[in-house]
Amino acid sequence: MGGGGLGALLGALGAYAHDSLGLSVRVALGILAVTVAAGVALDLGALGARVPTVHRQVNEDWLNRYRGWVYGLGFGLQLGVGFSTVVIISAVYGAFAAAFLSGSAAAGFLIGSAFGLVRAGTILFVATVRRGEQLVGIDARLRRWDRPAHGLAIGLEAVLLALAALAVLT
Amino acid sequence: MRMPTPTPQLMLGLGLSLALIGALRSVWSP
Repeated sequence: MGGGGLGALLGALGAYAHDSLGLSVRVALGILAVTVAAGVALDLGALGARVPTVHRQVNEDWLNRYRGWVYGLGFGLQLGVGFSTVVIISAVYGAFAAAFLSGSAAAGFLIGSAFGLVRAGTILFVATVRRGEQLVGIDARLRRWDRPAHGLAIGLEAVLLALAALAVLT
Repeated sequence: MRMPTPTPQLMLGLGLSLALIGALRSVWSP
């Protein structure tokens, strides 16, 4: 919901920008390609740089302070929006950049919703957890897969970058 | 292989792909 809302808003703003600047799809794709390229460089840690992010998480005190549906909604909105909590890969920015550059509220909504839904869906990894030691097991597995996953994600970003670059240059 | 062409569909596809990568990778967010 947070993701879809933000995506639609960015898409609508993008539509306005497209109109007022007379931006073509080719130019918009070029801007996205540059954005993703910069993101890949940051993800690779080029020049010791890191993906810019806020160092905050959702406030766990809410768990005790508010009713279930209140913190459920609050956490969902914050996580769905994507960059109100720690961002560990530039693709998050890339996705919302694409939502803006698409110049369409509908496309922006789709992109934002996809992000929000998948982000929310990752909770299913721990849906079957009933005991503490299971959670420790999942945590250990996540740690093992951390580096391979980062490499894979950057590789996929590079593929998307190549596609965008090809479309712009040909 | 067909060359990708600059279309709104390509932009949407790239955006969706980036969204999936970003969301899945966020599983590891500390």
